Amino acid sequence: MFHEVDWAAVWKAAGETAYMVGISTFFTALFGIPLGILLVITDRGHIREMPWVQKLVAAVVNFFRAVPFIVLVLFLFPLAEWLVGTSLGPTAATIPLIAGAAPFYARIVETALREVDKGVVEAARSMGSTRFQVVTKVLLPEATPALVSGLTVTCVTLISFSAMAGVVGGGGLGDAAFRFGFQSFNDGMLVVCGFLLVVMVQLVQWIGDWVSRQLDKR
Amino acid sequence: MIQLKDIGKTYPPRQGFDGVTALEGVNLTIEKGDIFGIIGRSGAGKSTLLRLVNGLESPTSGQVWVDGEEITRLEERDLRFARQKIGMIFQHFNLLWSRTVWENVAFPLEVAGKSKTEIKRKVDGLLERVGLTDRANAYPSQLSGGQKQRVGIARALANDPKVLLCDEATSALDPETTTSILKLLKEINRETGITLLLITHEMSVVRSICHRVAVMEEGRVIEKGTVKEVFRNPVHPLTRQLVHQTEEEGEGKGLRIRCEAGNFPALWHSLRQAVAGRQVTVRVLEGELNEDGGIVLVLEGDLEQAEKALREAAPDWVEEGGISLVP
Ligand SMILES: Nc1ncnc2c1ncn2[C@@H]1O[C@H](COP(=O)(O)OP(=O)(O)OP(=O)(O)O)[C@@H](O)[C@H]1O
Ligand SMILES: [Mg+2]
Repeated sequence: MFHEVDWAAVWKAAGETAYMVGISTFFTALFGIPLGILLVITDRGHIREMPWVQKLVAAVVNFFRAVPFIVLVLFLFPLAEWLVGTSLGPTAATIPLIAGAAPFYARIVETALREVDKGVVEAARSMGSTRFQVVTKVLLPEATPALVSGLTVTCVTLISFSAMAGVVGGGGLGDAAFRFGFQSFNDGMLVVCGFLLVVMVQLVQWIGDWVSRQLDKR
Repeated sequence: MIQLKDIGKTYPPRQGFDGVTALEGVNLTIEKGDIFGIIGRSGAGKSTLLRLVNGLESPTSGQVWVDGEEITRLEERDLRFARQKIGMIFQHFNLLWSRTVWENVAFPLEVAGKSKTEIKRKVDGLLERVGLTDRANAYPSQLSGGQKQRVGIARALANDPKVLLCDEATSALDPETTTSILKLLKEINRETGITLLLITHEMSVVRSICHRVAVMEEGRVIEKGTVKEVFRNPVHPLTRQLVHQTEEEGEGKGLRIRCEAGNFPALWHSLRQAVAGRQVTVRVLEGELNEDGGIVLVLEGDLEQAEKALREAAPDWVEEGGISLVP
């Protein structure tokens, strides 16, 4: 059945998925990490107690996490027009992907940073560290393995979300599977695209696990 | 060097917490170069007190002075500089497990903005001092508890502090390791003249290294003085209890004897031979002359073996040796 597979279309779609996931993973980390840091350090008894900021950030994060991803896609694709100049294709799809994944990752970052031993933070403060140094020299390095494994989980989620976003006009393997496979009654296309998605997920998981293990000195 | 004036500390009530007075009317003066112990039961306020000294906690009332500076009035920035001159070590070591031993010791120097070459020189020297040169590239997870505390000590000393605060620094260690860590602290005190303020709930720690001691109960200092005084003449019931406990510990473990100073060298010599192979160790308990010219020794280990050793070392000890058993 594979003779019906349009390999050129498959590779193009795979490239688009990799692009979407890559870009959105990068920005998810870029927004998620500061948000996670903010959630932790502004909490009561931490290095920068600011209960109102904490509550506000937590509310925003929770809001974005509560909205179903498909709703984000429908609402944010138009916003993409304004942000990146197009409301179609993989680039536009990164907007809802980031909006969905960054709050999710922020919570993972929060948990990871809270796991850092309070005693170590206290030790750093007792040595005269600034708050900034506590974050950059203690919290982040100590939590790195957890941050990496959390990013792995997020990236895997992004792969499946990207397939969904694809169908609505983002392109990529999900889109190809839907249009060239499902809608065209081409099982070969459907299987190949699905298989490639699974391979991507596995690959990301392996790499993530390996990196996290290398970094873990506990 | 350290002065606490009329300190009060209350943790205010908040949701699900009634509030607590952790310290009340605490006055303490700790001289430069002293080894000062603070002892008390769990919850007495010892850690809170210690954390006031480097400003990790601020008192509700009263003043904290360290080396002529009023810690309680320093701005954030100046407080950070002051902290670089106040080392601290912890019960659970609190090392960064993502850093090697070497990098852990480098941490406070990085924080203080020292140059690469200076950091290298300093860290190498400190690791040498605490005997961990060969473990420089190990991660904390690969170290024993005693080694971790040595890293903690090296780290605390990195910026040449004038004061070293020790919060239950040996409570997570076995007796032998405790002894070696205390010995190290004592040596460092002697070499550098650093002021040691240490917290413990074990009287044996106070006894083995402190010059002075304060006993705390429910946020108050109930007794203070030189270790000798407090041991000889404990006034408060809690102090008596604590002193009594260590004596019992000592007694339970072996035979206590007192000999006259003149006989000591000979007895020491023969005892050393007698205890060999008997699982008995000889310790000079007070390390000084008593008023009546006696020295108290303890033969630690099995009581029967200790007695045999004593008989062997000094067959006619009761009549001529001037040796008596201490009850
Ligand atoms: N951050 C805090 N918030 C509220 N209460 C606190 C806080 N820190 C300490 N306390 C309370 O202050 C009192 C003294 O605590 P502290 O930790 O100083 O005791 P401690 O003598 O060091 O005891 P331990 O030997 O168990 O360490 C306790 O009742 C404790 O519950
Ligand atoms: Mg304590």
